[in-house]
Amino acid sequence: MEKTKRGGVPLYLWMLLGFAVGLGGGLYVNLNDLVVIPWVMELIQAVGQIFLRLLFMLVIPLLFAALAVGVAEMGDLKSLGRVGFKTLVFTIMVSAIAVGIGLVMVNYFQPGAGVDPALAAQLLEDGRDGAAAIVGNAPTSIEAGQFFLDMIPSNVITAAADNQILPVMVFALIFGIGMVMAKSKATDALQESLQGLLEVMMKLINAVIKLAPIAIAALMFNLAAVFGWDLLIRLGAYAGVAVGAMAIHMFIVYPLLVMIFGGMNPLKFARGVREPFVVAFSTASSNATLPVAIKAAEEQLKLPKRISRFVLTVGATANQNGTALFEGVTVLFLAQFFGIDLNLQQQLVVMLVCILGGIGTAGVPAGSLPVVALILVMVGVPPEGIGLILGVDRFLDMCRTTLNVTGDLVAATVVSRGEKDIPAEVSGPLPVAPPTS
Amino acid sequence: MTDDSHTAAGERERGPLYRYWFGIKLWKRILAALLLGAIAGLIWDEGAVQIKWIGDLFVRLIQMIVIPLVFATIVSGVLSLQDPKRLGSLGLKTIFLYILTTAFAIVIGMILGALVQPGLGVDFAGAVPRELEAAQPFAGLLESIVPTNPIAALAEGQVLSVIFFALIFGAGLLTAGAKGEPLAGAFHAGAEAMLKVVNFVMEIAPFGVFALIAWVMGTTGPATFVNVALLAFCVITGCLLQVLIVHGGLIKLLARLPALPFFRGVTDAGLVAFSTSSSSATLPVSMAVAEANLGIKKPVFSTVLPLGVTISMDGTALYIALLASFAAQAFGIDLSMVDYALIALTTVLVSIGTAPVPSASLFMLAAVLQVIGVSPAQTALMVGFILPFDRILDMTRTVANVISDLAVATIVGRWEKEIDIEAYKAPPIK
Repeated sequence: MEKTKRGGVPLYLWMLLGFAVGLGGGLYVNLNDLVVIPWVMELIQAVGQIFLRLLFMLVIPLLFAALAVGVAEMGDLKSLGRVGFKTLVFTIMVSAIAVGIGLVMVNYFQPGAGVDPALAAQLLEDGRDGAAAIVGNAPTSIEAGQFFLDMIPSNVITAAADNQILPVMVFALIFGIGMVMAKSKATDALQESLQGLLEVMMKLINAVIKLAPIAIAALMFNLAAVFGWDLLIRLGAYAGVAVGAMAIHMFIVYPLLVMIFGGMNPLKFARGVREPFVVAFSTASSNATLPVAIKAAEEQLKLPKRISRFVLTVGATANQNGTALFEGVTVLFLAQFFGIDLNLQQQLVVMLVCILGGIGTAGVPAGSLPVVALILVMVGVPPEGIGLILGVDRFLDMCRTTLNVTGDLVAATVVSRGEKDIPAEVSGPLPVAPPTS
Repeated sequence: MTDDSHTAAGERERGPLYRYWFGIKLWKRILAALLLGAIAGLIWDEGAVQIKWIGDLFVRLIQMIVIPLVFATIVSGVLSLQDPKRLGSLGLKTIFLYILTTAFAIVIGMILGALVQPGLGVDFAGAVPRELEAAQPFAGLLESIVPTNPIAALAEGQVLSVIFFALIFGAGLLTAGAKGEPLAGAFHAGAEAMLKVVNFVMEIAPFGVFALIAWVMGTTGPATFVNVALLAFCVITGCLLQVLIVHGGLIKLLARLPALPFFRGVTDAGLVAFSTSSSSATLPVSMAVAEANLGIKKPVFSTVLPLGVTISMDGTALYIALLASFAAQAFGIDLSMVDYALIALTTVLVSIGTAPVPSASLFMLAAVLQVIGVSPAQTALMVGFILPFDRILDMTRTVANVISDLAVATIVGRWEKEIDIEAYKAPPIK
């Protein structure tokens, strides 16, 4: 998450404060069986709702621009065709594994289950109007054949207006490919415009995130007032499961990938990535860690420069295993928390959106937030639950960034195998500077 | 309005009829169409329904432009502001002025109601009760201004949400700097294109206005007005007072500009407002008029006018205040000064939250009447009584609504130094 400061205090500390205030207030109300004056309650709910609505407002343009530009940019590096293709396939595959692990873990441990169903039902009922206002026609059940059919929009504007996120993403992908195929001066202008759109959306998300501390307080107050102590227990379980799933991915999947596909001793790999590992954990920013990761790849892992640069740069935005895993775990946890059963197909949708979302939310600070909110509504979970997650988000963000960065290095190792280094002039793009905002 | 070079080139090539037609200023053509339409409607009677489609076509053509025009011009306008912080002062001034003009309108409505007493001895016997939909609560409105999906807001034509998103988007584009420039260029071009389209569509206005007026006069001729003659008199007088004295006076006092060029410049918009009876359908025309005739610059007219369409309704507020007096007199309720104050306050609040659709004011009525103790059943009866005549009253009110938007835009433009005084004082281009 981005470290915007307000009055010299990092934003995440403000968010933590908001979390604590909301939680404390809510617990106080809950434990003393107080009844909040209706208009105060309405006001608090409105604050949370407005924050959520602001997030939702940005999702569709953000995802569209990010995906289309991302694909077009990958296509720009045609000289690296084979490497690019391998990176893409690897990214999607490993992201799928990551989300899969997350989903299995949540289903097995059920961190969100066991909340008093009556309370959850009450909150669902309360939140229904808000959720309905946010997304009118969320799909309730999905059939297998229809599911793939529905991924192709018959009218992309309608799909975007109806919040059908997958069809829009598919269109954005195809659109990006089209821009690469029709490469000319005119498409360059179009691409620049889309880049501008992406830039604007990132600026706006940064602005919205600054409201997060207040919104978290409001959302948490609401939840804590209804659920009481149960909330904290569930939250602990959630964080535990998320960290556990990430640990499995980090300490079992990555070493195996490095050994089998990368042909490198996992121990050597582990020694080589120590530095980016620590930097990623402490900064919680893939972009900030990029220079360190590139250095480690070249000096410690002795990967060919051209390939490692390309894979790491693209990976810093597109290969986000940790983020995808986090999104999957979060959505399923909140579904359990609110007592909503997601069938296999719905979980499949969650998984797909998470994988594509990992590519789509390209390096945007807190970019996964709007995506999570949208998936929640898609599967019928009240998006208010996001308040719950935001409180522990900083810690999980540190973990998932570490996972993202290590995943990039794994990808670089695997892709580099069997590739020879070539002269520097065709090397990939220079490392992206950390975001200044 | 139309491109001068194009007209000049056309004059050489085309025949005398073409030259004659375009030689007449557009507002004169529209005014003539209005008068001819009224006469045609009176003669043709019910048969005028047959040409209503021409009017509907015209209305659809302008409505087609509203959303892209609003979005593109607001973004383009915010970009021309250079500094997003100026939006704050601009917005505050705008809202202050809108509330000010609305307050004047309410006072005029209540004074007329008290003097003329249109409700005394009204017989509701023939009226069919009409239930009203509840007005939207204020808190819900605030929330719904933030669109959850901008594409959906555009598709559904939620003007306030579109304004909100466009403002934020423009501010974001402004801060994005060099990277946003290609996109900014696209928005400037889009705004220009949409304003040009308005000019094309306005050439059809005389025909559309003719058809709409003929239809209204044919279906609700003056004979039906005997029942509500006093009320109609009050609405028309009130709107005239509001436009000539309040708007003209504010232009003179607050903007320190002569009022005559203003009235000359806004005639097109007023006529279209009168015939379509929808301030949102008139919005494209208001924008074109504000730019071309009043010389208001884009940052001001692009933000002030769309906002005015939704939150400022002078004519409507006047009407509601009048109807409150009307109801009190008809049902024999004595109004104290406190009641009047309450009516004024609720009217301001409700008029901000009403959608800009024809006859929206009737939906606001229930909320206001409740305050002075008129039961929902009585309200329904009264609405049933008025509704058949509402169209013509609505047409009158819409003129006041639209002209108030333009007056506020002029004053804000003057305050923000975003008005070209030369262009303002010059006679309308067309």
